[in-house]
Amino acid sequence: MTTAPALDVRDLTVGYGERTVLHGVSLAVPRGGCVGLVGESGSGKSTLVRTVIGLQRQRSGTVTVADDGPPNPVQMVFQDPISSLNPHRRVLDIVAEPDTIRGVGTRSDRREAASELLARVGLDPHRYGDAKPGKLSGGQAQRVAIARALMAKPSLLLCDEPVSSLDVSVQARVLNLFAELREETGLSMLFVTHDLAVVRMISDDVCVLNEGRIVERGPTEQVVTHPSHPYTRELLAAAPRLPRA
Amino acid sequence: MTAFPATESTAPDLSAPILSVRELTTTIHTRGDARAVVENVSFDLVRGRSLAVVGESGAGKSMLIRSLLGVHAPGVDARVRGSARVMGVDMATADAFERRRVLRESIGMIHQDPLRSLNPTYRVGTQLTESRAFGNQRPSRRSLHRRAIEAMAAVGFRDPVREARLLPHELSGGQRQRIGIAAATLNEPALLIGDEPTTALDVTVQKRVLDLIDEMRERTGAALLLVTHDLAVAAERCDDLIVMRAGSVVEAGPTLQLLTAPEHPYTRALIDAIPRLDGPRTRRLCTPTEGNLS
Repeated sequence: MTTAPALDVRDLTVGYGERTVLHGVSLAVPRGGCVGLVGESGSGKSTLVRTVIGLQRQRSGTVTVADDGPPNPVQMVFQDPISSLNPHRRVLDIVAEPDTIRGVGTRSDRREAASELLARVGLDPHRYGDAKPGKLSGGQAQRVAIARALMAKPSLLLCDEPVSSLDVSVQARVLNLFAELREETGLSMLFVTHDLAVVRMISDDVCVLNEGRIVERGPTEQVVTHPSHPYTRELLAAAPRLPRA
Repeated sequence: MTAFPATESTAPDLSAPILSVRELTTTIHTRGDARAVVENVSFDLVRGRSLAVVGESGAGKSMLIRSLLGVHAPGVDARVRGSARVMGVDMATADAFERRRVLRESIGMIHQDPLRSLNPTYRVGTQLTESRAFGNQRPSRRSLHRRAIEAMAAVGFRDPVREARLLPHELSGGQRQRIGIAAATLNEPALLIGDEPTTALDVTVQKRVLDLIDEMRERTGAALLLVTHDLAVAAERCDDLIVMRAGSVVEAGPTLQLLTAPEHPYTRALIDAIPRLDGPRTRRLCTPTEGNLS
């Protein structure tokens, strides 16, 4: 039994050439917790994600992922679900891929496990298992991407704007799926988005990133109702709102 | 939407609709197959008012805009029935010359990403005034340049003389959209059409761009037809609302009334599917299902 957080980022400084994009960012995702990371274009959100999964080298600071679990403890869910799936492969094989790569079980074992996960994310495996990604809608493709990520039994699910390109009703279904998965499986998530309302629904804590620095952090509800940093206040004031019935 | 009776008169009348759409139906024909993408849509838009068309992907929002402008993508066999009159001119039946005149003089179009509609090799100041270089009066180059500088200053560029010399890719998304607005409002059109004009922008930039559209409208009295997938944007910026689904109008009416007391289950479901920043925190969103869409 370990109490180390699922993700621990300390004093992370990352830059490209002359430009520094992240200035000493620290954040932690506790086991079973979900932290929202909110920021606008150019805030450094994507750089943070890239650094966590090792696509970008830091200048200083550390990224520690709890590694008492699977060989690939971090799994990603991307913004554009269609382009994150291999168009030539069938859905079941795509979902089974993490186990295929590691050589776990036989092909039929893996397809069996993949079928269960597909059903878990709300896709009928008999109907969609042998389909190719081109036949899927955006919301269905995002479910396949989530099922594939779950196949690797990750200690951390890193979601980079996973609902930003979806229609509102599809977005609602995928957000509900994330909420269910969190409650049922105790999945740890870092949820990166530009949308504070989405963060409010999905995550307990939030970090607000502005120009490479975390300017505010805290329980989501408190940050949304009593923002303390001027930038957070600006974000909240700019967000268009629906009238209440 | 104000329910004005359809009039055949084209006499100048300030209360006459700037845009009047009647029973507009568009079918796309492909190899013996016909599919209706806009079905029986009618509405009026009068001077100074704003109307939002909202709906999800495939609702027919963009096809509605294309149909009422009489502009379809090359190679697409779109057949339009019904009428769409802009300042009294039926865009479906007008000849090409007349349609171009209306497009140039009466309509300002703001696209989602002006980068796609801007020529990457021309300086933004030059193409801003391109629409002025055609038509009946041909102003001098110098006066066009002066007009471009003024227009850029009006949309908030701090140093327009320098910024007019930039190429489109040298601008940020928000700056490009301000160029888009400057271009759309240059001829002081009676009708501004925004096709998801802020969808690609950050919320803080979105607010500035929408404020700017409001300011320009206040200055010129232009009517606004705003196509958006974002109900909250429509709620904050438009007087009236049309909700579309699968090519048809599901519900239409004054924005506040429609959003606080929707009559159609689909409108209700769309509203409930949106995560909110105010009110009690929701753990689950309502999702429109085939069952409650009757």
